[in-house]
Amino acid sequence: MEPRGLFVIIGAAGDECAERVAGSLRDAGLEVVLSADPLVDPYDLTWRLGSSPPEDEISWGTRAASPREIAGVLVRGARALVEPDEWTEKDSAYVQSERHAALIAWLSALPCTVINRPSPEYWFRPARSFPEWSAILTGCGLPTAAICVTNQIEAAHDWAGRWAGCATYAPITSSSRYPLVEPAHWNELAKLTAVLPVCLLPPCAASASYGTVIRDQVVWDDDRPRGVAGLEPALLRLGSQLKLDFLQIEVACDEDGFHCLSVDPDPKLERHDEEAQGRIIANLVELLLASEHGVPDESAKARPTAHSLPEIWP
Amino acid sequence: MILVCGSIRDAVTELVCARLEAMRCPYRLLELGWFPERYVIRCTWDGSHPNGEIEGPDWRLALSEISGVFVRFSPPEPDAGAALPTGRLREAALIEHHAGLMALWENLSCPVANRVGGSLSNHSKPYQLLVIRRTRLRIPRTLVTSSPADARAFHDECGGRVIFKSLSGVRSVVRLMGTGDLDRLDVLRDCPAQFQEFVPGTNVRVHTVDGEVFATRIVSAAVDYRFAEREGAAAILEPTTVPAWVADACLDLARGMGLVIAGIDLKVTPEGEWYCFEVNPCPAFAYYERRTGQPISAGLVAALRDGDNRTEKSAREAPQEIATE
Repeated sequence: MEPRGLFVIIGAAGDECAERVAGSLRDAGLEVVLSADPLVDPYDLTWRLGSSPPEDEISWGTRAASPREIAGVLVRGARALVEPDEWTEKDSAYVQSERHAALIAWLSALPCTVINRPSPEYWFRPARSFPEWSAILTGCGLPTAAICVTNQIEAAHDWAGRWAGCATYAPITSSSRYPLVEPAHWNELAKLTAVLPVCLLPPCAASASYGTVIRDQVVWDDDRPRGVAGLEPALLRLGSQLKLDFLQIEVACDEDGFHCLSVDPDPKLERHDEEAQGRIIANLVELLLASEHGVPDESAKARPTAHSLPEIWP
Repeated sequence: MILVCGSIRDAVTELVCARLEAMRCPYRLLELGWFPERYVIRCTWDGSHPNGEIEGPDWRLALSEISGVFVRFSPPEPDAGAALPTGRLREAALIEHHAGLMALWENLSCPVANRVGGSLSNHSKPYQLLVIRRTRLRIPRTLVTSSPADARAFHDECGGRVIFKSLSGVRSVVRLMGTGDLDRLDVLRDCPAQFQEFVPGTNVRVHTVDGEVFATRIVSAAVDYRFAEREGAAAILEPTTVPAWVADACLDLARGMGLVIAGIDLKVTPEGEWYCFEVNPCPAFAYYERRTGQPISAGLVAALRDGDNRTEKSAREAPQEIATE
């Protein structure tokens, strides 16, 4: 019997999603490597690039064992590479840049299924701002919240007038949100606008739900808002456009209907209830197993939302 | 109206502004060295594109008036940002500044040279090689490895004529591997590196600007002509032309990456084979323009001035072959 290929899960220590997928595969008797950084000791990578893909040779494994064929990869946490303790900050930054550069290229060249095969746009800038997401979401037919970006407190107040003077401060480079309701909140915002452009969203909705796309499936919690499933075709378009198999979207519901509030290309399992978490893990494992059984190439052709092969792969 | 977003202390930004003046093309400079304290931004999104305006020291510009944007990020002026926090908080604040501007430029419908999204492939040179080899341009035989033994074997296979350079966008000097380098291959265990067979021939830098191609031939004995003086060599730059298919390949690369302007590093061998090494999304084209007189900045200004109304320019130069050494 031929040895089966192994599965590589790239994820930081403590990443529940990575650990549960790895556990499920191991329970099925499959060999799994779970690593935050599969290109450094004890792993060896040797990748020869020729003038065309058939001339390429990729060899990856540990020094202790023969190189093994990789059956499938799940990519979690683009920025979770191992930090060498003893290096200076400058050297460490350089090494991190180099490792990221090698890893994204290697993942792009792997001929197997890679769930969330990274593109430079999402690998090197995972925390894109909500205003940028907004244009993409709208283009896919998803409703988005109104946005204001300004460094003038008067303009911020004027904009919030639409909601009786209330709004939400959403820093451009983080997913944190701060309600702007009381005068004290606005005073703090005024200090920020003196030195920064700030991004404002409408007041926080009473409830928000998360939808997680796993290739052509969308998983919601059982108590999802009524009618939210109507967004699913647009969510699948979003995954297809971003060339991501696995992503998560936050949706708020208010009297005007649904509004997408955030997109996470690195979905967090803990945002869902237990039952939904189980379905997400099962769907991810199913995708990886399909690749091990040689399905992905054909399924990629058959399903418009599938993107198991990289765009740069001829 | 063209918006220039950069620092006048930067040679490329300065050249663009000078060209705008010379071409009597109206523009506004958002001096990043003094952003945001001397500027006011008021923008809203109620759909895919932003509306609003930017206010400078003595001007006001509606986003809808902008026909094109030239962006070149630079650090703040030493005296700027007095109200900013210090240390890491200051760094975080500056990142927030730039992110705010990026969000604006990414969503404008006019040409932006260059949007950040298209620029990121340059952070991984081997990734770019995968893209480049989809064209008819050749890529050098390349090894990416964390294995000292495999690096040594590749060096031997290539007859000892191997160069190494950074994998990422971090600027590095391209050098031929020497015996001293072979002695320290064990560091690969901590960080893979990229090795390439040395390609003999003449360096050619192609700048693509919208649909135009400006090719510069560099005559130098240095391995990395940008640092020729360090090697005790000279670098002579002169305008040249490239075969039409090479021009087309360069334009395809730039368009594919969404770059209004790009600097593409090529080499033509004595046998007439064309190799491509990388695509630079933030090219220091002032260096080439000042030495050759090629109107790269004028092409850029025209592309940004004409905005969405620009017509497709001829993608081809006259099909003259470049002289090879």
